[in-house]
Amino acid sequence: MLFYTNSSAIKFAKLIKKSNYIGELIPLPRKLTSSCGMGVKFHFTRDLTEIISDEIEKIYAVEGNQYKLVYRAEE
Amino acid sequence: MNLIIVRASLNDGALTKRNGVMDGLYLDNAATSFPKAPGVADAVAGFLTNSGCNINRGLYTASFEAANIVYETRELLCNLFNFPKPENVIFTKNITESLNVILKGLLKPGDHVIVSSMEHNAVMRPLASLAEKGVELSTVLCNNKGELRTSDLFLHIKSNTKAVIMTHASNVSGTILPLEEVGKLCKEHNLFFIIDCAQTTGFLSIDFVRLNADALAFTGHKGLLGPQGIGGFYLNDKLVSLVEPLIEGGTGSASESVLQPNYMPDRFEAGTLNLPGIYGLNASLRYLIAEGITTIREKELNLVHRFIQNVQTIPGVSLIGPDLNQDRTGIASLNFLNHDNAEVSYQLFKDFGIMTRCGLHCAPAAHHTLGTFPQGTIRFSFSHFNSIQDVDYVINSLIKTFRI
Repeated sequence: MLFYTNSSAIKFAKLIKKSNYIGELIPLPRKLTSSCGMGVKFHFTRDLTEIISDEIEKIYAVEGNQYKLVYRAEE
Repeated sequence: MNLIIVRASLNDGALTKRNGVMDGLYLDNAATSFPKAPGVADAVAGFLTNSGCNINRGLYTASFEAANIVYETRELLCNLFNFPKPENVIFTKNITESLNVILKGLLKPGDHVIVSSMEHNAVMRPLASLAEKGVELSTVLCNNKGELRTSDLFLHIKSNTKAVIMTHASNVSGTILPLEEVGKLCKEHNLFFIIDCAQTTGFLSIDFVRLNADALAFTGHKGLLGPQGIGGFYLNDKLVSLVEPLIEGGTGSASESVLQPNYMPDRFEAGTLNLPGIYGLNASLRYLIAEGITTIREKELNLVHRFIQNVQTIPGVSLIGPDLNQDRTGIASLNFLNHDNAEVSYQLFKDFGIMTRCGLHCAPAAHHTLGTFPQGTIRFSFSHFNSIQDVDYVINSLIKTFRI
């Protein structure tokens, strides 16, 4: 998951920890963004609408070593 | 280095003289608190010694850990002041910078603002320079104890009034201003309410939402018992978009763009943050929350009340500001009628090691209001780390000074 700010990423990482999802803060892969920030990678199989907020820029599903864009905030 | 040993309290026995210089009993906590909260020095040193890395700039665990501490410190401030959103907590180097960012970022030529006559120069100087650019300023005159009547403020509201900027308590007299009433009035008249909490954090329970505030500026090194060089402010969502950032630069986010991001907190936090300061503030906030603001306030009031009760029995001493039975912060300002205040302050240090602050306390407007301009006052500002013995030592020293 990509956020507009690193603070949002930290906030979300705290939230998933509290909700007992498996995941962590990660440096964002360069192929996903030119920003030098961090994102959150976590295991989630439920409906994305449960977690969408206006702090999220993009969500990629990780399939093998491929990233598939599954959500993008409207500009 | 020849350091004076500054003592917070006489609990461990009398002050000593070494090389002809008296060690000091520190009673200038309104300027900056000493000692700091337990754990602050260790937190600062621990970061510098063991971690030391920047946040938002490096992709390694230690950087993430620092980022977490910064975020957690925002959350602790939300907890203490009832700020709704951690990301709207902005770190600066001190409250002066905070007030400059808010005032200079918000006010435009043609805007009118209202302040009390008890404001510190951290508010008055930015407003004076904005006045040269066409911002109008009205000052509500407080009485000679520094008290403000909200009905007087009402009379100054005009069609172009944009904001009320007010200190929570005077740094000269310790008078507490009626911010809850002022906040209500601002809400009724659709004015932004900007609060300067320099003198009340860590002493009064501050509830941003209950005060109907739009912006609140604080510093880390006074009542919050943290290190110098760390302060901040909070903006509600309405002000976030209206206040233009004063400083722009690298944020470690949206790096592909040459434009400052609009997202919080990055919008106002360009450049490397004072991370050692934030680690220190984190430790002091934890201490304050564990100890309880009410407990701290009661301890300080107990000391300052004992001081006032006794000092008023000394002839030629005039207490400035609220009476003993009125609300106040943990400070007492005195005017010595038959002596030069600066000489008394110097003598208290030279002969008894007592460290006070004399002069105008960067608040000439307040001294005009209190009737102590230009001679100023001697301010004794206590900390909850002081003891009853400290108060009695000061009283006895004053009595000896005047050889009564």
